[in-house]
Amino acid sequence: MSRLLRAGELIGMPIVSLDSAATLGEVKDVLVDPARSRVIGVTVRGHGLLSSPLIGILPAESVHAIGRDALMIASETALVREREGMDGALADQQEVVGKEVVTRSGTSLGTVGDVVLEVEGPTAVVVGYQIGRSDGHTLIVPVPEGVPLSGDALVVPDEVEQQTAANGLAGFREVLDRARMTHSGAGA
Amino acid sequence: MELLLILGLLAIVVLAAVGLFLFLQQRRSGTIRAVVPPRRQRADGGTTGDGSSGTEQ
Repeated sequence: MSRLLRAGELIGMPIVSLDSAATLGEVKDVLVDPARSRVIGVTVRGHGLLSSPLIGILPAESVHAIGRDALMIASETALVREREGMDGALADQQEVVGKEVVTRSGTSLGTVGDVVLEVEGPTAVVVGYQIGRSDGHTLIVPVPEGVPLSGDALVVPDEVEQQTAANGLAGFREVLDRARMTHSGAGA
Repeated sequence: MELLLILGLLAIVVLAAVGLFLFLQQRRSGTIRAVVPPRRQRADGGTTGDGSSGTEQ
């Protein structure tokens, strides 16, 4: 059974090793691949204000489970330790939060506030974006796989504008199922 | 006069502590990043966005 989760909720989540039951750090950044709509990994920071701001990267393949309270990995060896240039390379990647969301016909829907993930065991798929509108309202829109993301904007199909969920993740599950049915119906 | 000096020094220490706290917190703050393939230089001087097209040499 899958569940919906905001990517922002993963930030700060402890990373626990199954073999030693030790907490190795906590999630710093969530790294997504917009072309495949997948979470491809997370960066890891230490515990506490004075600890290391970057311990390393945890690839998605090494995750055993994404739980409600912790991210579980098999062992400490799953962690790719920080090395020279890693911090700079990560800073070069595009930040998703704050990007403008524009439909293909050119209507601005607002700016990205968070990314909605569908989590099942160790796998997390990007299924939607939480958008902050200029009038202060927040809504969640479903996105099909491979939505293009540039340095300036996220371009979504026009029909997304009609598939918004205004009452949080609970309402979004229904919207997502409806969008999938429409998509599979159109594909048949 | 001495009291003013002490208060001034105290204010500087407090400001420095707040600045350090904000700096450390900023260094640790996380976000959501889209990982895109590196742009590669093409023979005509342009770049390929996904690395799958373009005439490379």
